[in-house]
Amino acid sequence: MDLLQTIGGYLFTDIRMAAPVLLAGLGLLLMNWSGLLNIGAEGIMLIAALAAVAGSHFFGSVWMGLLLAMLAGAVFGLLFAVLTVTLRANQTVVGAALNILGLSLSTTLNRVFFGIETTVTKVDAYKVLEIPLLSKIPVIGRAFFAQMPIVYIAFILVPVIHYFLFKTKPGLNLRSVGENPRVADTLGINVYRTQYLATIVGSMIIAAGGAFLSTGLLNFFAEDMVAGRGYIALAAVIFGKYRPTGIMVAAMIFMAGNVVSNVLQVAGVGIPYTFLTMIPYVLTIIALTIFASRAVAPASLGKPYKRG
Amino acid sequence: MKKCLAILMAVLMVFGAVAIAGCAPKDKPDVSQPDVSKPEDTKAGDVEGGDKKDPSKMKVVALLSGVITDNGWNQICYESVKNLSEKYGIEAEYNENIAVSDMAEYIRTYAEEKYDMIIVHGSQFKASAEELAREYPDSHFCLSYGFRVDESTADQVQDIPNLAYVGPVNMGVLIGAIMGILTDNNKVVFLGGQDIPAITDIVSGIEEGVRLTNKEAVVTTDYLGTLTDADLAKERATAFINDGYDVVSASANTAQLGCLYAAEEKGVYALGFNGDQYGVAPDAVVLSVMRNYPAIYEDVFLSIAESKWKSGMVVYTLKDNGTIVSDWHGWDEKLPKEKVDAINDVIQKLYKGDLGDY
Repeated sequence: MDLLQTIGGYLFTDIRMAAPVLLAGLGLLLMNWSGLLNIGAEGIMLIAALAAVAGSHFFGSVWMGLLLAMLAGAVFGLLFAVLTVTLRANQTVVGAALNILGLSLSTTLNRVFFGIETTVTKVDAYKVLEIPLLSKIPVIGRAFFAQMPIVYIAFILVPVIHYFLFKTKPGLNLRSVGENPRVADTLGINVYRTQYLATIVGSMIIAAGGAFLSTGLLNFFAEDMVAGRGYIALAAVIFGKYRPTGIMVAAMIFMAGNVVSNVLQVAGVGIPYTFLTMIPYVLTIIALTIFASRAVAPASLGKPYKRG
Repeated sequence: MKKCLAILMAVLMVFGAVAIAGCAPKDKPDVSQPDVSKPEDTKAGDVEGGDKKDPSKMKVVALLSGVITDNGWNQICYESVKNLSEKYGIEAEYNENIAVSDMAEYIRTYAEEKYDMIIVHGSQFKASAEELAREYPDSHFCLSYGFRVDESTADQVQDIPNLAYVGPVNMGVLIGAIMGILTDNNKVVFLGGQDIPAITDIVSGIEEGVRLTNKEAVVTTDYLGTLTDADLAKERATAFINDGYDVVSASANTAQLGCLYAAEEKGVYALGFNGDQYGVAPDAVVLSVMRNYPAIYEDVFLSIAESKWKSGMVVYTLKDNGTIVSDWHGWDEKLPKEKVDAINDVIQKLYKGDLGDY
């Protein structure tokens, strides 16, 4: 029983930590299926993490923080869309620029909002929302049903986005834009509008992931706090073979790597910390090499589309 | 259209690049101060002679590896130059986010400008500092360094007349001693960010410190492998706390905040580090222990002004006030009285040198 409880605890941590990566991955997925390759998730998450703290601080509600974060995400998404869809800039370069912009802007704004202090500004954060009865299920109850609201939202989004992409007409339109924009265009689908919408909505979902880092897992903003999760999400999309469920599995495997390194360090088995730090990344690389070859990306991913 | 795009991209990239190279590349911590003191400067300058310098005329720069809001290593250095600027009305500058590969160029720029005191903040810049100190003998170079308690770092120091390796020592011993008293379960953990001199110097002293006050406690020291991922740090600390550890402390810039937060969530004790971190987790952070770089660099600054400069290993022990302990912030009321007394007692003894040469 004790062992089972411990496993339940690990699962709880794994799910909680996977949520931001999952959200970022789902946002990226929408963009990828519309034919846009955005490597700027890290930057969007950072600016969103700051916006969430600012919103929560100035309006006193964590949900206002989420709203502000998603607005910030939408602005970044719009910027990306203007540059890559309308101006047909190289998507990788613009994505890299977003990352740099997100890091610098969040750093600068953080100092403007909260000053240069040795203490951090703490804000309202999400509370755990226990689902009655279900959270009492042994072993998995707490892991699945005693999480923060955003965790539920992240995991509910998995079937929702899956349904949207693969079972609805707008989803089909979106995918056809990513596969062959010219054909989609001749069929009367507004390619540019679809890509704009996908980018803005996708960026808002990524931003929700960033917001969860600063107002869910923690309750303050620290510069560069995203610490590579935006890139992990990129890998998770490919590893997840461009399927929402795949991304969910990928995010959970990666974070399971972190749980394993925590467990090993506490157990004091004497493995140097540098190797423990590697575990999640090694897991991701191994998983990528095994699965990535079979992942089929949308055919027009990363290729700018010029009408006429 | 293409032109428009090119311009937009260029603007975007330049904005980003400027910001990442340092959000305020040549920011003066206090602009108004030098102006106020200028009239006095000229007067003082006339009288002055010999090798001594007029402090208010000295030029100081801090070259930093990270940002000045990291709640730790770089912030404390920023506080140091800000302190100098405010107290002496000097022209003090700082540069953030300098990569190891770029440091030599930064040092050269300021050495060419005849800066009197160039603070190179971090042991990773050792090679650049040593090379350029030889090249520019007229500037005084301070390399912020970390020294292990076993003195194994001493032989890394090179003898260059205008280069000092500056840092507090025995902080870890102080932290350990307090941890040893705080623990109820006899299990304490200290997590470093990375295995670098300014962190290992503390880690190396923890066990020795705990043993001063607690012979039985299990002492674990390890590294997180990150200086920014507060979330990962929080989960790691939580894992230790779940294993029965009831005193947590960490040295990992912004990541360490996650450890303090974990302690608060789980209801165990924590010690803040490098800044008064009571505000981060008021229900966990009993005390904070800080590198006293503002006082240290003021001392070094004055030694240059009074031509009493010392090169080589310039360490500040607990006795020299190299390390300071924060206010209790009401914890002296919340903790059992015998613990408060014991902590006050051991701090006093350590500073006096009663428990050994710390």
